[in-house]
Amino acid sequence: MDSARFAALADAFGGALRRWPKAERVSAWLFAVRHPNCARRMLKAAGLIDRFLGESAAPVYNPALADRIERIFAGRNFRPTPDARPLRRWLGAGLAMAAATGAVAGFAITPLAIRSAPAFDTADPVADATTALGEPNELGEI
Amino acid sequence: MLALASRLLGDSTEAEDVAQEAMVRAWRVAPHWRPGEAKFDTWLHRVALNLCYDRLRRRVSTTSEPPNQIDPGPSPDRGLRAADTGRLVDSALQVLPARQREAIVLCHYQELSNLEAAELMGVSVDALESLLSRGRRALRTALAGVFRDG
Repeated sequence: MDSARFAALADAFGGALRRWPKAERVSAWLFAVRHPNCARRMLKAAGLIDRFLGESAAPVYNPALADRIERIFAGRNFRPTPDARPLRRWLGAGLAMAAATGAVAGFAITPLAIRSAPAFDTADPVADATTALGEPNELGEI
Repeated sequence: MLALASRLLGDSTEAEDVAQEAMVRAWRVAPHWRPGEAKFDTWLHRVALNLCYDRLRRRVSTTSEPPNQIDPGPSPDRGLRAADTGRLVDSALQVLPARQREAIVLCHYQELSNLEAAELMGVSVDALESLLSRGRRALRTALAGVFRDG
């Protein structure tokens, strides 16, 4: 991998290597090891966009939505057929997980949301970039 | 699914309708889904994406000109709170060309791989990469004021 390809990947997939195409992560990581300053600079720039994208709040979970869907499923036209039961169990589990995740996220995000301005100026994108590069022993996860 | 629809459509009510309809469709076609042919998660994304496409197409045919600039909101030099920044990012996402927005939502927020996202969007991985690059550059331009302050 050369610097042009590394820059193109950072431009497209951002500053975290875990979001990069799996097939190119190892060569990207090796490039970053060989050219740490160049890689860090590019990842830092890309990471800034990631940081802003992260400011977009996830939609607030609405329990009424799950109720609506459950009512539809409870209708007589939606009785599971024998061969559909496994997938429908997954759907039910998915709904339950979505409900639980929404509730937990709501509790977790509320204190953060009422805090004052995000410290973009004090945050350290370089640290992010370094984290994104990972330690050598993380190579197995790439 | 709700997050996907919400970010693609920019409307929480419509997003809930899409999530509901996607679940109902998944339930209806469940007998035809076979493990191993497609990941359930990818398949469900496809259902939700198609519903979003339908709604976006309807919008194009019923609405006039789309907005050509984001709502600037409060002036950056007054200091932005997280919620303000989030709204600016949401606005910037909404004025991106639809395909660029889809690419960013699928890869960044839904954390799909490039192969999965490209397949869902019906484009090559190179085309997906191009959409992502252009989308992120457009975001950088749209959020230039916030960048300067940041």
